Amino acid sequence: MHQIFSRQSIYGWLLLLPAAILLFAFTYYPMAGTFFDSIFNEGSGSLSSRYNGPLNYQMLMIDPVFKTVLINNAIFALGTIPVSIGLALMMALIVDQHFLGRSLVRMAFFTPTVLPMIAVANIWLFFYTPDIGLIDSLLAFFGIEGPNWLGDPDTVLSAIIVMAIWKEAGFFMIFYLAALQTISPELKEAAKLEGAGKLYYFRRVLFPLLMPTTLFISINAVINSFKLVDHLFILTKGGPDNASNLLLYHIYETAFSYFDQGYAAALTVVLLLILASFAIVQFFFFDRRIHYR
Amino acid sequence: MSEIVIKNIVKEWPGVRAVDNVSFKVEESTFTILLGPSGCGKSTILRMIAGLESVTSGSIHINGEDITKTDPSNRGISMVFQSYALFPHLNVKENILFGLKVRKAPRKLQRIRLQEAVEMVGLSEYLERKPAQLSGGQRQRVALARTIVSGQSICLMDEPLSNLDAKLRAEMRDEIKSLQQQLGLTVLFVTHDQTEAMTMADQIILLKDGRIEQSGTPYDLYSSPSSIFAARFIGSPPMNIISPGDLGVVTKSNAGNGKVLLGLRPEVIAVGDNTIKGPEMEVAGLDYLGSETLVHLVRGESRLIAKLSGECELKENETVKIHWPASAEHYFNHNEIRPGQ
Ligand SMILES: Nc1ncnc2c1ncn2[C@@H]1O[C@H](COP(=O)(O)OP(=O)(O)OP(=O)(O)O)[C@@H](O)[C@H]1O
Ligand SMILES: [Mg+2]
Repeated sequence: MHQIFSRQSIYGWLLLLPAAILLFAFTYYPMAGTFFDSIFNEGSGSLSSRYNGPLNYQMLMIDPVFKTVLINNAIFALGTIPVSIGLALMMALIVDQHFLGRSLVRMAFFTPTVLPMIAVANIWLFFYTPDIGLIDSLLAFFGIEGPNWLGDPDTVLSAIIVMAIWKEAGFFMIFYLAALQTISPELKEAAKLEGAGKLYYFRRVLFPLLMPTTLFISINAVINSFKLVDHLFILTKGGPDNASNLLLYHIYETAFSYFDQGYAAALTVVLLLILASFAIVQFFFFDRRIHYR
Repeated sequence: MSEIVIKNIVKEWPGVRAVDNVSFKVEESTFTILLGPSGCGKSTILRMIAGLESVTSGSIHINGEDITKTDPSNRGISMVFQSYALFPHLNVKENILFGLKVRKAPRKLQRIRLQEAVEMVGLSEYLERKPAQLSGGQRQRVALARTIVSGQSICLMDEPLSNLDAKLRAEMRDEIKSLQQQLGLTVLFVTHDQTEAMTMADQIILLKDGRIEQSGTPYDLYSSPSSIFAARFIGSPPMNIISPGDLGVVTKSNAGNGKVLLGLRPEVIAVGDNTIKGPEMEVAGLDYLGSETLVHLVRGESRLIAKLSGECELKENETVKIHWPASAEHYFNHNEIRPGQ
């Protein structure tokens, strides 16, 4: 105990205090508050709020929309994460080389990232518009009648996944590019002298050395796949028939369209648990096999 | 046989002629050192031989075969890089065996070669460590082991000792040299450190601005430098270059043919009182180095450094006489002097 209250450690705690207060006020307190909201009934007018136990959580079990958004979100995550990371790596490898117009290509790859999601959604709305949109017009040129991409429950989620990949890959590319530039070119030359081809070098040297970056990116990608819902406001509003609805958008609707704060809080707790468990698994599971310098 | 022959190689980048018509030969099982100041093209020459850099013109031959355009991995060479180029995610063993694994050598061969190499460089206890857990000298040894394991008889080294402290550098110098002799390697070694060159080389190739200034054995370069540059680059402290007239001395008759600058190595100059015969100079400073003392001498515009062994009784501002044997005189052309020399 004396260690916690020694003079030195009091200084330490005091130095930590500003950060701790901010963290507490804006992160932990709202998290706890959310949890309390989820087990109390919203008081309204004359009714005061009262404890209703796990009722909101029981409702989760039987809510078909909750099940749909979870599945959708899983598909959305699985559809976007590996592809956007793979693409990011490929683009980074390309623009890490020396060639004429490299900066231009780098910029082109990065542009989607700088655009706000709302703007991106608007661009893609134009691509996906039935009949007169870019994609359907192109298809029509070849005599194919394109589907209503965003209006058909079968295609809407894929359409949104493609757009998210387009938006995310450039962002992840920057991290790979930064990591690639820290790798000494001598390694490549040494491998070359030993007779290692490009593929061998990538598999045995480059990819393992990029593992920390890949881990970092994949955590970010998972979080993003649960966090990025701006486009739904523009493109689909979660429809048709919840076919493109995602967890966070469902939370938004529950809280601000149906005004069921308690249930929205319960959904938020679920979202937090999902994110936390991903982070834990990734850090503790992959961490061991990843080489850190 | 594993000799390297370089014929008239040139390397140009836009606006730079880094290597300008260089030719030389590295005999089998010898130690050749490319020596020169920073930026003179040493690394570029080495990298062209390794195939990591293309050649603008000229040709490179190994064992009589023109390999100017051969793939780096098929040139029969190994290379030790300045920063060792160890793979940070692989342990010592995997680093050493990297090449054999690429070439899919049988496991048994891998084991035998590893054992040999590791014993030779004294790394047996560190096989499972990652490069980050090794000292500079140990990393250096891993790089050497990689060369040994590769079984190539030609080894190129680009300033492999420059990241080590002075003591370790001296140690590794001996180690590399004995390794070269033990394995009969043909080594081409780049350095800008003349001590390294003098102690290790069978042949020194002294470069300046992308050209060969002089080449020969360490003895050749030390005893008969062909230019002021060569004279001052080799030997420490560098050779004194003075105008004999300033000291009021008459030089030998062969000084008549246009060679009017006198070169004297610091260690040939004797300093004494009026009993010796020679020009008078003033002591401007003394650097005590333990086993020897460097005496800075001035007279008008002329400055000299004399290296005296043992202790020295001289004091600053004292006037002394200096003397040197006539056989130790070197003569150079006046027009060789360029700014900075
Ligand atoms: N990729 C390149 N593009 C353009 N110029 C280059 C390139 N690489 C080297 N040079 C130039 O070629 C010249 C020789 O370079 P090099 O690396 O061979 O020098 P060095 O003798 O190894 O010097 P140091 O002792 O500092 O390593 C330098 O003037 C350098 O600026
Ligand atoms: Mg160099």
